[in-house]
Amino acid sequence: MLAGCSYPYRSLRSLPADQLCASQFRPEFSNELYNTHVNISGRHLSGLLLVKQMPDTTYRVVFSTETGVKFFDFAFGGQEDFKVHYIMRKLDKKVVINALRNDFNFLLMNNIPATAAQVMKGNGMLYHAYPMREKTVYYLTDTLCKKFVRAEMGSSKKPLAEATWTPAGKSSPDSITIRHHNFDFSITLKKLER
Amino acid sequence: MLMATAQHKGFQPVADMNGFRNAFSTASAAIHSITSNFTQEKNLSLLSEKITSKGKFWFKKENLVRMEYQQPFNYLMIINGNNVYIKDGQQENRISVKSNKLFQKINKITIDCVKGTVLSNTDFKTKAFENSQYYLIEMVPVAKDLKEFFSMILVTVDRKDYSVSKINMIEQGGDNTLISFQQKEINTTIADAVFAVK
Repeated sequence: MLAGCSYPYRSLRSLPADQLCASQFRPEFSNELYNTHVNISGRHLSGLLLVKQMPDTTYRVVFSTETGVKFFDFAFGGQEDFKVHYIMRKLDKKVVINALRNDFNFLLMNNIPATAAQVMKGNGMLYHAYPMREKTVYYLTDTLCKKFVRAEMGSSKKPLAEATWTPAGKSSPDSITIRHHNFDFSITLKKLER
Repeated sequence: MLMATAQHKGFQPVADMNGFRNAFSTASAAIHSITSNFTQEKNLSLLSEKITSKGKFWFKKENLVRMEYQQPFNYLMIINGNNVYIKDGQQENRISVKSNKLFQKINKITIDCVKGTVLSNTDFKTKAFENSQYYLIEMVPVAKDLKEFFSMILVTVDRKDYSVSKINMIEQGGDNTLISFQQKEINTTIADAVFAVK
């Protein structure tokens, strides 16, 4: 039982299922601005996050303070896959960049092929698994794959982070939450009407 | 966008810098308080994107500033001497800038701009330009920590009352943040409670 709680992915059973279905819950960003709150290691930070799809279909993700000071400007997708256009010197650390890169890849469903590597069943849900860099991301749906439950990023054994967004798919989300399990780090985003 | 050139379009260099410095300092000494609306435009040049926000601004001598962003988000920043209070819609934060030199320098820019002492801020190399309506003060950071954030700050000052009309903070990569002040009211009474950091 303890092992089941600690390593929830071990109890999942593979099954033949619609491998295309999770992609319908991919958030579709065009040019959205989010009021953003970040909690990290007991500290709180707020700002504005812009997610914009560029003409070459890459996404730019820019985070700045409300007063206009830029924290970072990243590009996702395209030939380079990921590019740091700018990051504030204080944040310019590999571990920070990699954590942010993983979080946004996970949310944008960037580099995720149309078909899942594996579909598994467990806890009354379907887990649509995709390899992402050295981790695995799981998009969890109901057993009919009609309803998106949440996304998880995990090692082969256990979840490291989870994300939820509503509405899921076919539009830009109004609200997004990303929460890490292995360290104190969460991001909440609320879409702003401009 | 105004670029980092020796000359700014529509402006001529101020010939008598000392004369301007004295006039600016004397005129702004008569400004005890400012209440105004403001518009902030963050221009992300490579993304062809502009993020606009609006709010209300209060200043009272010597060093009290309240900036209240009201659209499209709520964000309140009060500078009261060495103390800064921030309320971001989810949390309140109080910071003493004594321990943060960079924050002190950034606060000093805002206060110096409205107090008319911006020309003597040694964190910047300053030049002044003029046309029939405005003075334009070009501030190029000398301090290394400020250089990371700004390549130049351009402050537009209204000739008629020496009050600040615009502050344009230009970043190294070409993006900029332009704050313009509208419906300025000079020397109206503002209660100290407006700047309370509690």
